[in-house]
This record gives sequence, structure tokens and C-alpha cells, in this order.
Amino acid sequence: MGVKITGLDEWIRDLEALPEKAPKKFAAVVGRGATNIKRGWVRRWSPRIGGGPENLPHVVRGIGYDRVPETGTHFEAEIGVSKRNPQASLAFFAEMGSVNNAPHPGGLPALIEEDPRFVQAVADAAVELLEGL
Amino acid sequence: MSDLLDELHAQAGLELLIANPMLGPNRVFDGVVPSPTPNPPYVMVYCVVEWPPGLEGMANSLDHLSVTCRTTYYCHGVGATAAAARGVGMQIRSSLLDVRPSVAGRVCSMIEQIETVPPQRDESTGVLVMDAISVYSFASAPG
Repeated sequence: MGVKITGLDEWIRDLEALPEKAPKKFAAVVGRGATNIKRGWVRRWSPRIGGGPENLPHVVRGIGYDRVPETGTHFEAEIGVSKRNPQASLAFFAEMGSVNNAPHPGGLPALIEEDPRFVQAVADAAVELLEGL
Repeated sequence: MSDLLDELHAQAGLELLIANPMLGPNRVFDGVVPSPTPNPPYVMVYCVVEWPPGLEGMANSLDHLSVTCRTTYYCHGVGATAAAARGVGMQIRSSLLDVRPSVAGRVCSMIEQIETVPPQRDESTGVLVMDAISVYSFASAPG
């Protein structure tokens, strides 16, 4: 009595390559997602608070993202206005508003907009890895 | 001719807040604090009604029409102290969180909490108050 396996060699090779290929691929997906959120945020804020002396052009120019160093299978990016930006302290009020001033939502809608795209991109990356692409 | 849908969506959450006996119509304000500025506690609500494009907006529409509506409430829970502002925040949560709002001709998701911010000083009305911000949102589609 014995077991014969056929056609699985390629699949096994793909699985063995995962630890090497997966981090790079998923990190790239997180990076793309962060870029998209940043762009969506800038797109929303530019016409509302991006110009004129009474607006907050530095805040809009200060939107960026940082990749948090990877730890194992944890990939993370922080998107927002840099703390070094001269108008950074005002970014919160632009996004959330105050009791007497309406908000200009930019970051939150950009995040919600990216959500389904990001989930799809992660799924695509996983399929590509399992197919050895 | 307008279908009034945007206003119906905005009112759906406002009515839930007003229906809370701990808040009521005299403590829930839609977009502007009345003059003279009332004494806290009260809730200042900014409603954002969007018809988003792309994956989120198409919902079950085969013809790619924008049929999904997302309504977001930026709720400022205002109190004289941080504890009071948190108390208003709790009333907001008990009014909105996990409630399925009713909008005629639409199927609505339950309201979810998107974000909360701890109480902080706010002097934008000329009076020093503590402001605890919480953001709630729901989506709807034709139904």
C-alpha cells in the first residue's frame, strides 16, 4: 500500500516561496493603499481649504504617509498631516470641526473610499502568491 | 424636482437623537448653535450626506447608477466638564449605535461608530466648554 501524489510539486514550490515573496507583496499593497488615501484626502481638501489667505494651504500640502517598520506579518502605514507642518495643530479642526465650525471631512471619506479597493488588492495579491505569480 | 432623499437621510439620525429623552429637541442642534449660546450639555450635529462613486456607490445597481447613500453624523457632545461631555457622548451612542434608521423607500444598514475623540477644550462659541466628538455613519440602498 502506498500514496502517489502527482501535480503538486509546483504548488508545493509556490507555498515554500511564500515566506520570501509575501511580505514584499503585501507591503506594496499597503503602500499603494496609503498613497490612494493620501491623494483622496488632498483631493477633498484642496478646493475647500487649500487656497486663499483665510484657508489652510500648509495643512493640505502637509498630508503624507509614513510606513511603520514591518514586524513579521504586520504591515502598517500612518496617513495624515506631518507634525512638523506649521499648521499641523489646525488639521484636527479642519477634519472634525468644532462646536461652532462645520468639519471639512477629508481623511475619513478617503479611508472609507479606499476600503473596498484595499480589500480587493489584498485578495488579488494572495491569489497571485498562491498561483506563483 | 428634488426627491428630498438627502434631507430624509440627515433627519433619520437627528430624529433618533431628539427621541432620546435625555437629550430632546432643545439639546440637539443641526449645524448651528442657537444665539444666545445655550448652557451645556447639548449635542451639535453636522450631517454629511454623500452618494459615493465607485465600488461603494454602485451597491446592487447593474447599470452603474449611484444608488448608495452614505450618511455621516459628526456629533459634538458638549459639556461643562470632560465628564459631562463624555456623558453626552454616551447618550449619543445609546441613541445611534447599532440602530437601523428608517428612510422611506430605502434599505438602511445599522448605524456604526466610525471614530471617537476624547473631550477637549472648545472656545469657538465664546464660552469655554468641553467637546467630545464622535462620528457615526450608515449606508442605504433602494429597497
